[in-house]
Amino acid sequence: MMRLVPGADTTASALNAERIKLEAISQNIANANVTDAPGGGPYQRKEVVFESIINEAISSGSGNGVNPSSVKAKITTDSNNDGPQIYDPEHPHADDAGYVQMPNVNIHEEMVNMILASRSYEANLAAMKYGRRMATQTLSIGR
Amino acid sequence: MDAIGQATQFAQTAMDMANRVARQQAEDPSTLIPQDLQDQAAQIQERFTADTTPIPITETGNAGSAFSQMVGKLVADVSVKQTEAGQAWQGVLSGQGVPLHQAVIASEEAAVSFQLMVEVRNKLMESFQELMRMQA
Amino acid sequence: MIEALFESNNYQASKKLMDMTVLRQEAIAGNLANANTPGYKRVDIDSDFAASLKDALNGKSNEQIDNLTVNLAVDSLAPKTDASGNTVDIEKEMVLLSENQIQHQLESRMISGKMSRLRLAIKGGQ
Repeated sequence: MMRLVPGADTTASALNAERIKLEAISQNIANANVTDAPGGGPYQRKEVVFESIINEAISSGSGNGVNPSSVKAKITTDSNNDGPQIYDPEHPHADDAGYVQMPNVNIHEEMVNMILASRSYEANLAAMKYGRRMATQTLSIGR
Repeated sequence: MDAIGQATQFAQTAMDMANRVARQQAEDPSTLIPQDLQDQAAQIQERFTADTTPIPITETGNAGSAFSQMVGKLVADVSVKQTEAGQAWQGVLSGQGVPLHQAVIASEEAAVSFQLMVEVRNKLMESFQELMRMQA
Repeated sequence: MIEALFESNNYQASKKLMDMTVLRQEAIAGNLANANTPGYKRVDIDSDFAASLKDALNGKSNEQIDNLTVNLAVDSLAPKTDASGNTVDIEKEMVLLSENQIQHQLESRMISGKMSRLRLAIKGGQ
């Protein structure tokens, strides 16, 4: 891979990961009230966890230093917590006692996560912008 | 290779001329080298090296080889710079992970070195031409 | 003769510093990418580098400058910013991002300036 724009592939991995996270969050929000998901039972929220991947390709000096890391998003289904149970006997999916099992989506939490993910996305865009600026600067040496 | 080849050829010609002048001095001591020509040679040396001792052209035999050695080394060094720049670019383009700035800087250094060699060649040609004019 | 053109200490240092700014950009990009990765520790240029470069410049030795290696290391002084032990502070990284870009611009200017001065000297001011 050509090292033209410094940090480019790392930032690309970050933008991809944040996008995946935002998609999971939107899916959660959209399905916050789905009580009859395919496979039975209420919708179960998607959770995204990031993990870092050492980028061996970027050599660090004489090889003594550490390498920078890219990031990868892992989507899992959060089947641990159950959502709240709402008393609504009229609801088509109510059980015998009249309770409806709602999805384990907490709207407030999802909104906060969405804001954090957007903020990270913007920060990584800035990193790409500055990296590109540095490359342009480099090419103008001697002009 | 053509640009380097051409410049090498010119430098070679200049070296031959310098040798011929020195040999002529050895054979016919009565041919005086005018003072300003010697000054010019000393100036060139001074401008381009840290060492400021001028090459004595009036001495028989030695001058030609010292001078041609200097020009020969110059051509060799410029060639090395060009090779380094080429290797750096290859490192970048083939994805071997050479960072862009190293290739750009190597190219610039090679270009400046090449320009130096061309100027030296020009000065040598001028000096030789002036010498031939005097002898005519 | 050719070596004499480029043997200025400042010029050699500028080239090393440019190596540093490019590597630092990689580090900052990695930090920003992993701002939300549990347990990730931020990396930056090895803290010894600045002192080593200063020594080399004081020693006025081009060889010493050339031998300097620019490395990344885990920043052991960075405080935790969340419960998982992540040490990335997005605001701080953004500031470094901007500073690094300006330093890169500075080195680029110094190197360009050196080249144009050399060209002028070689032409002889005609």
